[in-house]
Amino acid sequence: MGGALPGPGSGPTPFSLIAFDAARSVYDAPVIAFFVAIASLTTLIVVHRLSERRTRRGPAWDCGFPDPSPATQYTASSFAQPLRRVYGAAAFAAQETVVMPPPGDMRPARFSVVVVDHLWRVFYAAPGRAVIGLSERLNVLQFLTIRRYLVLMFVTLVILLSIAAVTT
Amino acid sequence: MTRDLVVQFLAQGAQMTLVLLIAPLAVGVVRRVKARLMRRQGPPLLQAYLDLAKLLRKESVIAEGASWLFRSAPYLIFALTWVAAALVPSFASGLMFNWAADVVALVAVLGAARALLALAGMDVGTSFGGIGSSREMMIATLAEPAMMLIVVTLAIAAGTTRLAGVADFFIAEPFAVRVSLALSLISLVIVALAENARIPVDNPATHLELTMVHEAMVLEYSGRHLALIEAASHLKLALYLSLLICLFAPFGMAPATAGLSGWAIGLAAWIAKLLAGAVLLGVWEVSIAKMRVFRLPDFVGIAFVFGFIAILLAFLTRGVFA
Amino acid sequence: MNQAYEIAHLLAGVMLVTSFALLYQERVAAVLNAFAAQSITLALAVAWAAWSDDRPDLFITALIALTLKGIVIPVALHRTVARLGIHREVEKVVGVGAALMVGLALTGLAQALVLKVATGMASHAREDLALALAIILLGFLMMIVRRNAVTQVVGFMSMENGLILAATGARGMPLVVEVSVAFSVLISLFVFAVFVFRIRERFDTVDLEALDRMRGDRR
Repeated sequence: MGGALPGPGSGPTPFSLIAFDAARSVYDAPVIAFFVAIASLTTLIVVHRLSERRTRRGPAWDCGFPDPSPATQYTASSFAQPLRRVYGAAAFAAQETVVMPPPGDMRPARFSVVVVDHLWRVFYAAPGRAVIGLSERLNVLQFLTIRRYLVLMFVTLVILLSIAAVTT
Repeated sequence: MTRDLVVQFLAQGAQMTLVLLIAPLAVGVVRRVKARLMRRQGPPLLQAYLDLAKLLRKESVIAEGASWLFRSAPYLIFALTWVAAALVPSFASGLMFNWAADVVALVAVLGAARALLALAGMDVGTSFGGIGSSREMMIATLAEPAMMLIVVTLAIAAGTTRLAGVADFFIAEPFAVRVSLALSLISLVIVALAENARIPVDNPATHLELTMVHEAMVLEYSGRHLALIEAASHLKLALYLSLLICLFAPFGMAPATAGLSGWAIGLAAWIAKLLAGAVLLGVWEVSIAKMRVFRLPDFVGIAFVFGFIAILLAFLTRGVFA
Repeated sequence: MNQAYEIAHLLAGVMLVTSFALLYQERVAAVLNAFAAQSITLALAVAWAAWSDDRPDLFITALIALTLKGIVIPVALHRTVARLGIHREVEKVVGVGAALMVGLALTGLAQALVLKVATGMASHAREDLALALAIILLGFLMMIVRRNAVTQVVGFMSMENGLILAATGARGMPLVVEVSVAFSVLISLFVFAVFVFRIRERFDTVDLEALDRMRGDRR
């Protein structure tokens, strides 16, 4: 593989800002940003030269079915609906229950889906419960008497001294 | 030294301009082939250019609730796609820009363009924009990991993730069929179909909103904004065709040190291969039907599985081309 | 030279004995007397160190210890106890026997620790340090095994005595530090006295258990 990396600015182009090694691949973010900026500016200038500059404001097209109520707008959970549907069985342990009464029965059919968020359960809810339980137990320390606090200090001191006496 | 630098600069600029100019032609070829195979006359080959010109001439109508994001997104999307297209070696490998980014950066730039498009689709607050954006993101979660696996396979084979380096490796190696490369070819074809919104993933010519993914996101655009987005999608198609060509059929591509004659040969070879790829795409689109949206995980999942197997095989057979 | 160390050890040992004596006393007056004895012994030890090591500034330390801690503070506390009518008996948490046992264990711990830690020191300095550390720990022990507020004050001050003894063993305890330590002792005494006064006024008792009951922390 490559030898010692030369310092910054020694890439093959004059505006390479990063160290360069011919055997490895490189990632030079400022150059990419520079190219994107140049491309955007060029696009802006050329399009504004060549095109009709007027813009008009009008109602949203929405394929001819405009419905401005907030209920039709996409929320975060609706944005995630295809992901839930695709990954529900695998990653979220989704379970469906269907209750279909026989024909002639007047009860409505029921369909329910239970989706479990494992990340929430393992990494947030469980530590949260542990922290709350632990802090409730430790809250006792707020209400001790002076003598008991002194006992705590004394015990700590003796333990530390014993450790120092035994281990150093 | 400076003259060399100027020549390099001009070559990179020429590559960017050329890919921009060729892309609508490739799309025209695809549409013409599809029409002819369906026994229709089909639009003229230059129709895409005419469409872009027409859109540029028209006034742009912007929805009342749209924000600055909606207005500025097309420019940024186009610029990002164009920069990504500058990264893929076309007629010559080893151009200037390729030292700044590798395949992973290419995927990231395209991902940024996709994110902007999804945001712009949701910006107006219509439900069709939401449909398009959410489905596009779902397809992205399936296609991008497969792309990463392909990148890893190529990196194992060529020893680098820099696209020009991979292209040079595949030019230099004898033309041998290796199973891992064949599997990653199939994987990349599926990923390219998913990313470019082609049948069976999405129908670029549909007028039915519930079958749209890409078209639903850009439903509210008109005038020059729509021209930019259409140009970006043409450019993305040309980008993926160039990627397939430079990785799996790179003969004729000029290496970094070739002179003008080498570049001319490379240019001719590249244009010919690009149009051949467009013809193949047209034939493919006619032969297969669009899938239901929620069957897509199975389809793109094939790409993921093949990519994974390709990595395993590449590891196993690494000693052969060491 | 040897004799100097012997006398110094003797005085430190007497201080340690008075620390033990503080632990087993039953009455507040006796506790105060034991504390006075410990302070006077401290003054003697410091004066001896001043004379034998030829450090005249330690005489001032000895004088301060003698006057403040040997005479003024015990007398003041006697008067306070008499005026407030504080219980003449010291309420114990742990029995005398157990407290003395723990005191012995602490002395052993101090010895072991100093032997382990201070390996570079001369042996006589090590002994002094071990005794001083034992006195400090015993003072602390007294604070936690007695329920009376006055005895807690006395335990705190016997810790101070141990600290001063340890400091005399070390080379050069500057006068300024000594003065500041003395002032802090004085001020803490006054604070304690004021608190004890107020508690006595308010609750008619300075028994800590009774105060806990009143506060509602029944344990």
